[in-house]
Amino acid sequence: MSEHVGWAGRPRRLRRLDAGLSLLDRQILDRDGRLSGKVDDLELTPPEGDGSGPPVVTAILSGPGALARRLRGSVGAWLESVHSRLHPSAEPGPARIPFGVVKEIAATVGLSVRKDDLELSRFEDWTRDHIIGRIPGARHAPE
Amino acid sequence: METARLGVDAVARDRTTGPYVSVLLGQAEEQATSVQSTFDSVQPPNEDADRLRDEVDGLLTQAVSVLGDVRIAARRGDTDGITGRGPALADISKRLSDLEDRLG
Amino acid sequence: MKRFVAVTLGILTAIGGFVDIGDLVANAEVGARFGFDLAWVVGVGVIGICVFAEMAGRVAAVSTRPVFDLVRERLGARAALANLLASSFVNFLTLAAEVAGIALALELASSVSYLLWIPFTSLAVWLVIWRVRFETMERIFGLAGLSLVAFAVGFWRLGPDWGSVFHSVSHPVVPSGEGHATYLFYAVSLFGAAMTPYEVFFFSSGAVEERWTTDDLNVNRANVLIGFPLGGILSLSIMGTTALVLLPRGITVDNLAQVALPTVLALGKLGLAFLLIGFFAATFGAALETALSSGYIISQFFGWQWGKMVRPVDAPRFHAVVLVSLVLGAMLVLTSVDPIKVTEYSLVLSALALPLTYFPILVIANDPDYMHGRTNGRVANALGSIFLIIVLVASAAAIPLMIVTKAGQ
Repeated sequence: MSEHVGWAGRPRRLRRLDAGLSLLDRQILDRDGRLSGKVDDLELTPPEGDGSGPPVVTAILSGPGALARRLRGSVGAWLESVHSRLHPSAEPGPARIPFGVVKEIAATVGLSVRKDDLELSRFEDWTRDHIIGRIPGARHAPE
Repeated sequence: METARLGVDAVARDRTTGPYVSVLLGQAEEQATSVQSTFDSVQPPNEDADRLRDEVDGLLTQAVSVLGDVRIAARRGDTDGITGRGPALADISKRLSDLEDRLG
Repeated sequence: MKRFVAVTLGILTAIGGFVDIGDLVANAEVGARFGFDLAWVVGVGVIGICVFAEMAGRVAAVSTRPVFDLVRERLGARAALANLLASSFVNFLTLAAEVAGIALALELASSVSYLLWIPFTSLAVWLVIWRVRFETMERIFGLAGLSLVAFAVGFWRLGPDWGSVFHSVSHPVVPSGEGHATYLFYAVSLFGAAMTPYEVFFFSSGAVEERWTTDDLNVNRANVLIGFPLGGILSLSIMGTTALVLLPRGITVDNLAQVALPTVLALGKLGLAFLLIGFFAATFGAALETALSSGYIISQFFGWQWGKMVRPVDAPRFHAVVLVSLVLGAMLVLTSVDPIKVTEYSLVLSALALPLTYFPILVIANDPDYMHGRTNGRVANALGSIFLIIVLVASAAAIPLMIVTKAGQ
């Protein structure tokens, strides 16, 4: 996916990026530098006004569901079926990070918020609450 | 077969511990048993083969039996029992390899 | 002085950690069937893993991210996913083999069946991952693995005819009584044992866990370039002992007890004790590494928080993957499938998967965006490319050879 898109985060400064190279599959880091998933897909919306001009990136989509949708073909379909089977909630939709909270795009994509503030992954929370969190010593500092 | 002989040798020279030897001999016995059952499951095509089969089978049965005895002795820590069977193992082993040579 | 101690410790850890159940089984089997005629494969494998481990460590130290983490960015999600699936499968088999290996070592010490040990060994592995500090873990099991030097001592004590050994090593031939295909099949397996894929994932993630920086690069190089070859010598001494004792008697290696036999005959109870400690340390250490690797690669593909460097609650999916892998691995072994067979298959499949592991490292180590001026020099690239070809050849040959020789009969 190599389209030139506008960057909806900063309405006044439209940066044109080659989204395929710069955004997709990048690591996302939250405000505290914690690993928060990868850019699995992008949400594009048609531009305002008369509809001419490139679509605008309004959100980053993250999670195996989003990835499955992007990877067309049997691999993607397989990933999607595994994901929906493992996913705890009824409606597995991809986690959506509105582009407004994207702070910087470099080797990694930095967010201006903490990952807990966004509903980034119900899977992680579920795993934490139901499995890992229940084992003694889970909150022990590593050193 | 040969493995067991070496194992017995090791016991004779007091080179080894009980658990190790009993595992070693146990494995050797298992192997011999499985060779025998594979062998037994093959249908001999003619009378000559039939006689041959009986001969080999007889040897294998002896082998398994001696190996079993050695293993039990090892488990019990019966060093004399183990070393005492050394010659028997050597004998069967030689007969098996002679047979192998004969068959080409 | 302190620096010297640190470097020495690193090297010793690398030597002790080099051998795992795959090396134990492959080297012993090959020695018993081919004598020294396949020793050259170990040499080639050691050079290969040195080349790529150095690259992987450099990538991690300079970019502060492990290699697999970068595979998706650099090569695309599709390629990375294919890599993930293949590597995970091979990793899983290897993990099962290592867990079985720990149990087999305990069986040799106690004569209690290995199957009964499995629940305890898998639990122990998980507990160490859960609670023990990364560096401590590496040090203890690496240094304890040095116990395997008993193989080298045993080899020396068996009084080999050094002249004929050197001749055999430098003039390899296919022994009469073995086919060419079998010879090549074991070459591929031995190669897979030396160049274990999980080693690279673990090594580069471990570098990030221990927070290596560019200052650590030279220490890294020393560990790898001195430690691994010495580890290779350990592997060769395993081969040597079985070549001297089992080969003349026509004994083939089918179980771990036979792997120890030559050394036991040469060194007696003391040798056996050292070997058992060494077997335990080598397989336990490798089980830790493969279990962690399965967590690393899956988490790094999806971008989840990973690592022992954070609290478990902060990396729940990583720890869940590790836990599940250990449980599934234990279950596989508990089906009482022959652990030696599992090891043999894991080696062949490792050889098959090698290009997937090493190609990305070569690409990323040359990428200036990640390497900040420390991209591969000419030597690294030359060696890396040569080995990529070798690895591709081995990979392509692996399955055909396995079919033709019926997995080495």
